[in-house]
Amino acid sequence: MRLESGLRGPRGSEKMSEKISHVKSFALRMNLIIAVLAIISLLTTIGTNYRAQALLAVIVAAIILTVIVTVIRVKGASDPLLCGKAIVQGTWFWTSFSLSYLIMTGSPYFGMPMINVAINFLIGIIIIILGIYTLLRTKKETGVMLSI
Amino acid sequence: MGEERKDKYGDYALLEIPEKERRSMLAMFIEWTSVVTCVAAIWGGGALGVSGDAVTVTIAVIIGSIILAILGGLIALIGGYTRMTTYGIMRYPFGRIGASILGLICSGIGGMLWFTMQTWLAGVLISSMLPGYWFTNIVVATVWSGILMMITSLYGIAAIIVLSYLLGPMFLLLTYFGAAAAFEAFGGIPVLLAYKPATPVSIGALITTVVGYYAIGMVIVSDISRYGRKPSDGGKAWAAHIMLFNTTLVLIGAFSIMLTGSENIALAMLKIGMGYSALAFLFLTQLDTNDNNLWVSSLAWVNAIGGRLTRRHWTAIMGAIGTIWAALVAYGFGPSMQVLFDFGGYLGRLIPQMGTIMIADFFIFRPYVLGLKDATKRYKFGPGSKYSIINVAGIISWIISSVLAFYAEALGVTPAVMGIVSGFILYLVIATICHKAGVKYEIGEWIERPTGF
Repeated sequence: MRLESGLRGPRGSEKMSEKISHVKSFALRMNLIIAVLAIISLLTTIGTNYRAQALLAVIVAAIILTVIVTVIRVKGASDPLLCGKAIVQGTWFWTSFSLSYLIMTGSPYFGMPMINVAINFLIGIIIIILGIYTLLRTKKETGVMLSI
Repeated sequence: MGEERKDKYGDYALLEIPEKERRSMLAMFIEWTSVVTCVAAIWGGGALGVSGDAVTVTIAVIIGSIILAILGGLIALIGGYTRMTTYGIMRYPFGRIGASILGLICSGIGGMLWFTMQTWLAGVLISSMLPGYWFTNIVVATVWSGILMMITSLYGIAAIIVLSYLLGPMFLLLTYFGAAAAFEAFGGIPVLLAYKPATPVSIGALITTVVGYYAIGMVIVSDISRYGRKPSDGGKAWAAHIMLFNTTLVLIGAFSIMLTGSENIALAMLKIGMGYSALAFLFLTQLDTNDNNLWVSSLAWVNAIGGRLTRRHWTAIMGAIGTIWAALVAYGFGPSMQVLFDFGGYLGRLIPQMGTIMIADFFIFRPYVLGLKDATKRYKFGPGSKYSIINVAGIISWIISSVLAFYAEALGVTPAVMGIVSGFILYLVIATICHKAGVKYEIGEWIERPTGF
């Protein structure tokens, strides 16, 4: 694995733990951003009908739950591979859930005002872009494959 | 495992999975979840919905799923121990040529037929979703969606798992949400409990139907489970996806027909005004399921033919045949889709018993009759490994149980269940008697080449 190569001996293990803490802080930062974006999307349902609120509540709950589980797994990871695995798997999940913003929110059934639909669509796009970035960077830094 | 060999055919179609290629239990779980989250599972549930009340159907689905989880879990465990594809494992209970022929019936042709049917369905869906454009014409849409569905399969298992990770969690979320919304709109639990089926059948018949729906998927479970880090990972992932999602998706189909009169949950979502969301959702579902159909087909062809054609070549060949066939059907020309449905029905009577014959051989015959207690040493693969050309006990058991499956309905039993039970018993009886009596049941000898062929 990329991270392990050239990191042998006491200095190597020092470098490795520095690298792990760097990867961990990156993962925590990204997950925090995603949680904030999800909560913003939930706020857009204020004043809309219960169907839109239910949809957004389900999507946001799924994303927040994924973020919590990912953060717990990342914090508990003792080696770069486990850390990378937790980040990649969690990122896939919240990226996938965010596709729901693109597919569902514009549906007439939910009766969301166009401006709210547009905001949620934008949030979905941002989360997907952040997801791709997180996946590629984690792969580069930890060597964990994306199909882990 | 020994020294790693060159993977000539791609995706270790004929070789054991090396350590570096192994995947997490979650990857296998999400891959199977993406496969089961297809319209077919929900439609299958619809057929149950007209045959029983809500409580009876729920109990039947749970019991049927437990049976699927146990049988599929055992087959997955074989893949976990041997690290080989279903068709590689088949070399022992059916012989080398037997494995080639049965692998082609099971996945080589069966997988391609599923691919064809789902490609055609995607074309129908796109043309109804966006009518009036040249690229959404049913024939054109069928062709480009067929090509799209081939892409991940051409790249191989890594791309298939990536697509499953990307779409699988979203499917689950939206399936449950869409179902809850549709059920609420059509009256919810009170209407569900008051529902009386037009043609009620016994709970036993319902259970056997549940098992029959996913019996083919259950047989080829080793194609994925061999990637697990631990031998038992695949079995656990299989059982978990069956109990969590197969149960609920089949029930969604059943409840949908009880409440809305249609088993098609996407149609129910359309009826309540979810518009393009339902259709986009349905198309993505097809996309994610269909690459897997083509992938398993290519693995079976490599095992049967070998030579210069790799897994990618077979993916392209089977994908092209399936896409052209689907386009012809979409055009209203050539073999109708009914041919596919009929042929699919025949395959459903030929395939499930292959799985239980494998279980009988690996878990009972080899350890308790041949005395091979160590599960990792029951099957040996690698250059120079010797297989029989034909294992007569396996082939005869399969032929008799297939004949019984064709006549099962006349006896009031679902064909898949007849095949599963009779295949298991017949193999054990025939192989054990032959072994004890000193009758040679493994005929001929095939020595594995360095390529794994």
